[in-house]
Amino acid sequence: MLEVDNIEKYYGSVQILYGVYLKAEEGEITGILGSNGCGKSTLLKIIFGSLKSKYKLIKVDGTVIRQKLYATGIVKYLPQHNFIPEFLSIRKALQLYDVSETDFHDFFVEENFNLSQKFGNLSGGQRRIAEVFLTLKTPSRIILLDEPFSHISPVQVEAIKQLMQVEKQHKMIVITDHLYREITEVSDVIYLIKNGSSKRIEKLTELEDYKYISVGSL
Amino acid sequence: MKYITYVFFYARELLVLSIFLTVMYVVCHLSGLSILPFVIVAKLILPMVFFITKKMNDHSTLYFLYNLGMRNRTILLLLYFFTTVDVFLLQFILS
Repeated sequence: MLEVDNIEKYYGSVQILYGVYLKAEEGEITGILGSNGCGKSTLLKIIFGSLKSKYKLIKVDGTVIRQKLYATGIVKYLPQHNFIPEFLSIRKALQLYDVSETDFHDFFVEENFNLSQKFGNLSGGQRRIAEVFLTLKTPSRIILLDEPFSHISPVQVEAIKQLMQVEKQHKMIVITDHLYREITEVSDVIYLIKNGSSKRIEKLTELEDYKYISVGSL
Repeated sequence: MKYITYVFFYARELLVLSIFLTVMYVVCHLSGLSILPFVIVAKLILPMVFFITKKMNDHSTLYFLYNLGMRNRTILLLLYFFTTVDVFLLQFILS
């Protein structure tokens, strides 16, 4: 179980996050929703360890993690932008992420991927979905996904959602995206970041109550 | 340490600059000019400046390195190694 508590983040004198709490368990997908600039990506970066915060408490299976979470090797993070170097071939990336070539071919049956192709030669959408796939399939226990559905086609979004359902059985997946329908559909637990604090959403109508979506959108 | 290659590619612009400094050093040395202190100071400052600038502006490859479990200090140490090792080797050869 991944538990983060009391996360406070300032950008200069402006406080973005006020004591955020979040819990992600194995077998569940934890979705984070929130309006633009509310701190969703900031929260993921703080959990990952690439961004400093004023306060934070991160526990994995009840043990407090004092070092940066990425240094423990149990987490993989998908940032909003492309992050796998252009010079790297798909085959090498699969090796580095400990993902089998068979799994890759099985997932991308429709696509004509050549494993020796470099990431820099893939189209924007191909590159994104390959990165999402690698991040999800890697054996790390904690997966943080920032906007995994952006820049990919609806068919591939469905494929990724199915893959998440399989992978969540032995992983803790935390996901955020602006496509709230995808998040509400795929997530088992939803948190809404509102006014810098996290609120656990029990019923989707609460999203209307908190004015995250307009009334009647559901 | 098996991820050295990726840091190498991450810092390719820095390495080009570093090689340029080394070539300058050799040319000056052969012409009887000693710019070693300047080269060493430049090579000590550049990796830090490069890393901070990259961290602030371009996160792409940095997140790749983080995902491999590399820490900031490991990346920085490797940058220092790449940029300074040639000068020390040259100094040894030329002396």
